[in-house]
Amino acid sequence: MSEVRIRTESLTKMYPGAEEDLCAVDRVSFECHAGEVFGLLGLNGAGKTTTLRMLSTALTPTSGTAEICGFDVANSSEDVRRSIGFLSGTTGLYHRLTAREMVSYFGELHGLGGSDLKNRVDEVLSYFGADEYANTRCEKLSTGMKQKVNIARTVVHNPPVLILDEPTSGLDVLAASATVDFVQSYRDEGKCVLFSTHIMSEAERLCDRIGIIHEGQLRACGTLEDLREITGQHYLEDVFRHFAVGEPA
Amino acid sequence: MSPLLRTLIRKETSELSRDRRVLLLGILLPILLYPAMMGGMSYLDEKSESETAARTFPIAVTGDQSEVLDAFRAAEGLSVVEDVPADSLRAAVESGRIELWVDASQGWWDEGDSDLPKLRLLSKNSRDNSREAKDRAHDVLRKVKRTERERRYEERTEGGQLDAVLGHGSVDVSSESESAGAGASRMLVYFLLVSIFMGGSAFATDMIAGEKERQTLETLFLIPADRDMVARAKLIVVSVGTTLTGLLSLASLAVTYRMGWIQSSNGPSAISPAALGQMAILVVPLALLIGTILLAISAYARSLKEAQYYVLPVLFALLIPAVLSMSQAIQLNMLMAVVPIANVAFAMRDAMLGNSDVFRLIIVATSTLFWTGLVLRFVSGSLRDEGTVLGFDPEPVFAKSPSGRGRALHLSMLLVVLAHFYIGNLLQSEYGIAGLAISLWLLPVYAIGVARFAANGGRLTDIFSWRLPHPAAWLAALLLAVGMWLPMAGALAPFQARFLPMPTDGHAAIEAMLGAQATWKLFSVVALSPGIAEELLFRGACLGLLLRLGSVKRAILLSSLYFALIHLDVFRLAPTFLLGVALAILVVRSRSIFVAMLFHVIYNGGLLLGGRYAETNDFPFDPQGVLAWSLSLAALAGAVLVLRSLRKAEPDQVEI
Repeated sequence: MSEVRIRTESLTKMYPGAEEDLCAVDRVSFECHAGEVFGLLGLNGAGKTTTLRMLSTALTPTSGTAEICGFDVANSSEDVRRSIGFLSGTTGLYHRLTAREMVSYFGELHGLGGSDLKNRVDEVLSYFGADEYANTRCEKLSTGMKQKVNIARTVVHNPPVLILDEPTSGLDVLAASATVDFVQSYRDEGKCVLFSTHIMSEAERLCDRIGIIHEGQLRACGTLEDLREITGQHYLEDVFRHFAVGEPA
Repeated sequence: MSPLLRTLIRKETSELSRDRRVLLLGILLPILLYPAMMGGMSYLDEKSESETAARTFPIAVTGDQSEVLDAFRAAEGLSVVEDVPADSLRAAVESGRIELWVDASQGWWDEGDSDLPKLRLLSKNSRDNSREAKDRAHDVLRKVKRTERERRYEERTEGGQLDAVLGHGSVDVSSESESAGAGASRMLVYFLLVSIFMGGSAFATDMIAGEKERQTLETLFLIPADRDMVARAKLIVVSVGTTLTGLLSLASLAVTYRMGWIQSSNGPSAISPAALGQMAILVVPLALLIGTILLAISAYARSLKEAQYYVLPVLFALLIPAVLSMSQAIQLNMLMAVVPIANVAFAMRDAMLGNSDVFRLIIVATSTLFWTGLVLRFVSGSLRDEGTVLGFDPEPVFAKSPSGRGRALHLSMLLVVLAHFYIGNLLQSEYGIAGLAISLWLLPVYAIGVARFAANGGRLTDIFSWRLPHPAAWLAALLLAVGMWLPMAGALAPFQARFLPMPTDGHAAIEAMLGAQATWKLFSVVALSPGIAEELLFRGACLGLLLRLGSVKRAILLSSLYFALIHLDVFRLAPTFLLGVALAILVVRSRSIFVAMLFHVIYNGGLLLGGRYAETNDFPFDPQGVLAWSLSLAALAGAVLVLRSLRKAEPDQVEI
């Protein structure tokens, strides 16, 4: 088994309520390894985004622990942030910066500088075919172009762990396909990718292992074959319904 | 400066430099504001004056005083019309057909010189022309009166000259720059504030609220740095921007004066370089504070649009203290020197009037930086708040969590302070000392309301520390109350009188209400009632709830602050705060509110009875002498020793 890059143990997030507290994530435990794409599958509001935000240190867990590359999200947050690239489908760009400035800015913020920064920025922009519009302000880019710049921004510091929260939402077929291709190639480089989605076909195509999350709880976790075997269902959609709502196909 | 901070600042600056709002509001507006506004107003005034001077206004004159009629016929700028029927002259003034009706047909004055006619001028003052015609008519009448006076004087003194009796003239000793400063000081700070605020809003509102809207803030929070660094970088850029806007605005004002586009009564003049220098120094803390306030708005709002909604009301709120400086009757004293915005406005006004004081300038700058720090703390707190990442507040305002309970408590205490102010003033103005007593006995009602609203379970008796204390605690309360009389009355009061003297009319008002009352009645209102009622609210509900929400020290300080605030008198803030701290420590150490009640009654009652005794008797020893101080300090030391010993007697005692 390859190196564990993400580990959560009874990770829980509660939001205080006027009368009673709301449990957004309820004792979620899983592991992701290097060279693996782990898909977190769930309906809207299931707790996927909250889980990923806790892993990225944007939110603080109420209880439980989570580690990225051995760093605790609560106690070593700066080390965790150094180790991850985080992207969601709704993340925006700075409109008045050019694509190159945008990527360079985040490279600098992650400690790159000088020729290393320039070379790395050229490399990632070229990889995503964004070098053609590298000097165009982000406000003038199409949705697909913006997403490519965003991914370039996410990986400019070459993080060992990539956390993607529904990265294809709102994208057209080609842009979504390019994103999926990138995730596969990043996995092939030996990186760990945690990927949340509610699109079954994407999960089926991309994920080495899948966690099904529903109402804040991780209902199942394993390879697609494992889940098929447990449920006796072939299609992932049916597998998901089995675990999430207990409905037979 | 760390490379990370430098990168953050460079990016913010780069983005701002490409924003046309920044160019318009932050640079062009402050440069063009004064020349456009003052120059334009000056031009319009001059034009209007010259046009008015060249105009002739139709008026009607009735009556049979030939010298009056002749004088108006001969007057320049007035033309007497004859074709308006006598019964429609008033209507003619109202409609604008004529601008003035000089009615000299009212007969003659009865007393004194019976040859003086009664004159009535009818004008429509809401119309500029009518007002101008009236002014010209006054000039005409003044000349008629003077001629008549000179004639009579000459008759009576057989050739004497009226001017030889008394002549007078006036000399203005103000320098040109002081005259210019006096004129500018009325409006300058107001416009400077608007200019800095508008420029700053272009810099700041987009910085956090815009990032929230574009969903770039979460990404920025995921860089390997503390969120405070993000806040710091944004503050630096906003502060530099607002300072630049302020300095540009000031330079523009100086140039406007220098070019003579603003006329003072002494002709073209300029504000002195010394005044401009002081104002430039004051612009820096002012710009820092405004920049931070705008950043706080930006951090609080969830979108750029929401932030823009807040900008205008906040600007109006900030202008209120600045407007105070337009009156030379209000002075920059030590109290005003710590009031944000107003302090800088007053210091700038004084600099322009040539009345500056270096010590006060330092206090003004320091207190402004202090307020900036407080607002910056709010900004940092907002950025740490999970709602900033989530885009919504995950917690209901008055949730059953510690933060929700804290909000409920602070809101209810602030409401109590306001209610006590309005209801108390109303009752005292209607019923005097009885009204004061009623307003005090409303406090326990508020206390129960606060406890019910802000508590999160538990019995009211526990929250209010409603239990009998260890016997030694009574002794501690007694010693502490007695020991505090002299330091409070003999040391703090003179210190306060030096730095924040209570106005004499404040003393007089209190004396007027309390002075004539019987001692027993006064004792019940100023010692017994507050000793019970105030304790139930501040050491009962407020301290009791605060102790459940945070640290003991914070609970003591906050409850004392509310205790000081409810006295609603800035001149008593320090003594009431210190008293609140002593009372809170007593309750925390003894876990009994009764001890605080005893202390409060003895303390207030002792001061009252001591004061009354001194009105008619001499003290057996010098109340400020060595013996009195020795006894006081001994009592305080005794109180501390007893309080410390309580820990052994009560093992679960809270440590502070």
